[in-house]
Amino acid sequence: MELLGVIVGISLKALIFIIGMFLGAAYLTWIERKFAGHIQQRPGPLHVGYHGLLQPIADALKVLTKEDLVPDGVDKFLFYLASLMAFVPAIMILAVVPFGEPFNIFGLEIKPYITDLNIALILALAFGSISIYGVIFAGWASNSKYPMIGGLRKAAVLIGYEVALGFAMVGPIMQAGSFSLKEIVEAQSSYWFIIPNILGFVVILFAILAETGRTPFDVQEAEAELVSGYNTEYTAMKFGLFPLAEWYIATFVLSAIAVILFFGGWQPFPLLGWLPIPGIVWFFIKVFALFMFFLWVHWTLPRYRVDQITELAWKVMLPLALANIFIVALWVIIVG
Amino acid sequence: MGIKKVGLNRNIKPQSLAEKIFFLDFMKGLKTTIKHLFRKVITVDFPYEVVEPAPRFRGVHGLRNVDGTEKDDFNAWVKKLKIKPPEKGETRCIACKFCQAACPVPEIFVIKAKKLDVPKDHPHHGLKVLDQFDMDLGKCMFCGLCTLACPTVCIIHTDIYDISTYTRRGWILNKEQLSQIADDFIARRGKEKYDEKSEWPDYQKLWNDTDTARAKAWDNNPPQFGPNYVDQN
Repeated sequence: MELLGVIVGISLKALIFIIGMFLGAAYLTWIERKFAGHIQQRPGPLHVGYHGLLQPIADALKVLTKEDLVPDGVDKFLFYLASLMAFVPAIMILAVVPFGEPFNIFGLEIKPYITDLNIALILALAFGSISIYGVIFAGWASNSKYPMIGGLRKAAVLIGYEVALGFAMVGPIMQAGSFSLKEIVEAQSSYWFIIPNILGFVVILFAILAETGRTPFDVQEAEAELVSGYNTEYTAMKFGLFPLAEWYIATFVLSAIAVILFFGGWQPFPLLGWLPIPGIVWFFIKVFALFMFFLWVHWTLPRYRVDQITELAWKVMLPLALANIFIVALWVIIVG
Repeated sequence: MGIKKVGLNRNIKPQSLAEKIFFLDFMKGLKTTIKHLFRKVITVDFPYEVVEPAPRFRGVHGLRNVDGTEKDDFNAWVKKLKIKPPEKGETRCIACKFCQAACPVPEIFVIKAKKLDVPKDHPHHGLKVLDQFDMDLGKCMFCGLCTLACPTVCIIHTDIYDISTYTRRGWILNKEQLSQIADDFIARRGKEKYDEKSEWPDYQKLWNDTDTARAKAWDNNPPQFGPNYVDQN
């Protein structure tokens, strides 16, 4: 009986997370379009609903009802698999992201996370890496030159940034002494890990930009050179899943992980702990702020050249991540 | 990393160490976009919001009718071309075809006058009247030469710019349509564009008096290359 309860509870929670993430990502597109519009002094979506609020729903209907063309020369299996490979791992990272402390409603303890693994961070990294296969498969299976170049560029970029990302995450792990994201957050009750880890945070910022393919690292799409990059041959919802997965879900989830590692997860802001705001709201405020920062960077900067990106990864970001480990080690020895 | 700064200054140097470490050029860009984020939207929501063009705007053509604001030599032109003296509300066009002569694409115009079919003792015997005036706006480049050539300020530009149609035939306007367009335009903005003698008022000059640079540039002084183009001479 207890097992059944656990299964039902987890399935319900997973369903809520997935549906919430879908709707959330849909409205993140609206936020991005509004933000990009106003940065360029135009209003963005305006006519479908109040200030375009129903635009994501209209877009979803449009994308879902479009004809789903599959070109003749493609590798059908990989072609179908790629859009799922890009999308599913991005959403699976959510399984280990804790949104807040457990709380009680009507005597029922609700944990706002699906699982609390002791290897959560490694799992997140692994899923993050798997979602890259989606892009590379898409490039390969399309049997077309632009997707191929886009996919390989993405692979070249990610080999560099995954390494830096992994090393940059070592700092908070050393301080918390655990891979569990929940324990990392709990270890930040006195001060946030941003303090000794500032270099690590910079590296993570760049790595997230590279991993999610946002400018200045959007070489895999590079509209001016590669038509649309790895998703050139895709249509309809298969096409829609790629930007949804990369630009919105992956950015949001990786922002959440960065907030957990460096900004204390659901811990309130310093000196604002007396406010009657639940931890889950604090968490979403922080994640949203970080997400908006990525949007801000995306709509500001031009694109790096491919060789400059890999140069930045290996010659700047990797040494910075290693230096961060050294600094944090000293901090752990001296401060404790 | 040998990333160079680019820009209008000529002394390009590689990034300094501080710029490399703190990504100062990123910060500059981010500052610019955040400033623009809070500025007012400058676009126009076209079908719902329409920009009113300046009175000088060269839009769809119109054919003006006689309304008592003709030029002083209007009657002389009418007499010279043996046109029936127009009454109020009739077209000003005297079928002189100056517009067609001035036009770079003369086949835009189909202008025909016909002799009035009246008995010999009628005062209008032997005089002509405008019969056909068709314009194919699909071929028009809106250069405005026809309006400059017109001696009676009959053919004018209005401020209408939304001229899309479903077929090319829709761009061929006959004289009734052109008259209608001009009447509407004069009723709306005639006072703004023409004075009592159908001349352009002074305030419609290309520049105002304070804009000496523009006046000088107009006076056969082509603009010089700025410092950014030094190497291109």
